[in-house]
Amino acid sequence: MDESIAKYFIADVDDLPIAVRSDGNVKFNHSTIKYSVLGVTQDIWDAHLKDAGYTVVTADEAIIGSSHWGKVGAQISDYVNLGDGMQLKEKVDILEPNRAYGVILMKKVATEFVKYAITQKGNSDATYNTALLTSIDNCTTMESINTIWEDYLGGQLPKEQAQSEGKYENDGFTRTYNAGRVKPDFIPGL
Amino acid sequence: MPGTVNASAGNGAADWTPGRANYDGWNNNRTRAPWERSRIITHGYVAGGYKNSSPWQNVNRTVHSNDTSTNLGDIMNYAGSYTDGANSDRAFYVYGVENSYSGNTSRVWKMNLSNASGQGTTNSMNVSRNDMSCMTDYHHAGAKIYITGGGNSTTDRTNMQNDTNNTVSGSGQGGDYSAGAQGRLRGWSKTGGTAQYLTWSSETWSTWSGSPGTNGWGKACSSYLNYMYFKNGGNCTTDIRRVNDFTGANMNAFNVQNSGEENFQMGSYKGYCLGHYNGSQNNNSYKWNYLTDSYADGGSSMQPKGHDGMSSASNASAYTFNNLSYGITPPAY
Repeated sequence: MDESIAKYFIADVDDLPIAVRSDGNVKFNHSTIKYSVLGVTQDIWDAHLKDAGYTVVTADEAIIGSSHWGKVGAQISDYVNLGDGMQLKEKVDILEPNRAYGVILMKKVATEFVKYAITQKGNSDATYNTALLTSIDNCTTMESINTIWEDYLGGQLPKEQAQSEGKYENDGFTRTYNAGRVKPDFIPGL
Repeated sequence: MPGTVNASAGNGAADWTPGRANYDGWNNNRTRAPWERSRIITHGYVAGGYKNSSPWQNVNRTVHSNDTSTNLGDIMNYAGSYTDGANSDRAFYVYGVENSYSGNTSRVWKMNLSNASGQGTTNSMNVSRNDMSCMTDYHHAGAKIYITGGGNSTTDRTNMQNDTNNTVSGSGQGGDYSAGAQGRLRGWSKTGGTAQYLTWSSETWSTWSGSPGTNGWGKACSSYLNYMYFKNGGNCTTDIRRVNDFTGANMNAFNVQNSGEENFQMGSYKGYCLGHYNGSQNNNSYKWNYLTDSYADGGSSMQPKGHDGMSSASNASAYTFNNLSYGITPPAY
């Protein structure tokens, strides 16, 4: 953990002032689709960001939540230094409170995403509306918020979840999707 | 100013100044373009990679003049989790494509650089690998791609003219997780504590003394400016080194985003990171300036798309002549 970071928040990096985006001023960054979870020092926050209305998250939500983003399995990767430049990748058990941080963070970023969609598509859009915001708010499991991300926000389910939900063709490789899956066409290039 | 490397006379490495139409190469043929202008990179591609054990099969194009990435869809006929890529003047090769995670395989996928169409699998490597490293003796030079590491110390060599894969002397890098880059005359690779360079002309490996500190989890990016970049640690570190691509000597150190397993893409005067691992796979993107070693974070425009994160993907650089619609001059930082 970088002790110099005082504020964690959600933003599209493209919307930040150049003074924030350059010179290593973004001390923490976890980007997914459009939005990133970012961390900056108090000085940078006060000078450039404090009045911009960004959604603030806690350090645990940002750090633990981002490392557990989408994780539905029982284990997560960890790295152990063996010396001589060697590093062993191993799996360690996921703690449920840590997974919960992932769910919280994904819900918060999804909420920002849908709010942005509403600004682009208007209040009466059939997909991106207050009902979807409510659906996001009602998610209590990693599986449920993963499904929101796949169905509406341009994400894809982790392999374990797609397999357990039978979302592969007979070849075991080609993905199938829920009927009505919508890709956010308001994100250029998606 | 970074990059005033030279290049002992006669060793073949070019003395350079950005934009200078002069050439001091081994044959003193001053009518030729300088090495740093031998190809103008206007766009690039990043393919495959994985998140949460799900390997991807989509490809993103990044246009270097406006730092914008666009998802081209699932055009790979195999996915790739721990892959590495390289390119000729005509084609993008993705080594180690396999639908299952983490995919130890000899399979190679190919894409046409002019129209970004998938060509299916081409000739396989001679051995199966996981997270290997590629080094390119460019199409306008030796026209070979060398692949080593990734769980096998055999060195494969792809002939860009006919896609045949032969083996040359082994690297001794048998461990998984390799990082590789290249200069004009040598390719550089590191796996764990083993650091070596391959001399194109003799296809022999030599020990790389004073190598940067990556163990292969931290990746590398080349340039046409007589230097390359290697991360100076594994998962995860901010420290990146600019390294002379003929001598292997450290030239500068600076910091970028904290990560490993980076998807580095080479440009003319800038490099890109298009997704990496920082505790989980992500779409974090940034570019750094080859002339100043400064970097800036990229947002939703630059980030690769089609999923919510990827690391250990493959990258290719594409040139003016591949598609003129992406420009004809070296994109500015």
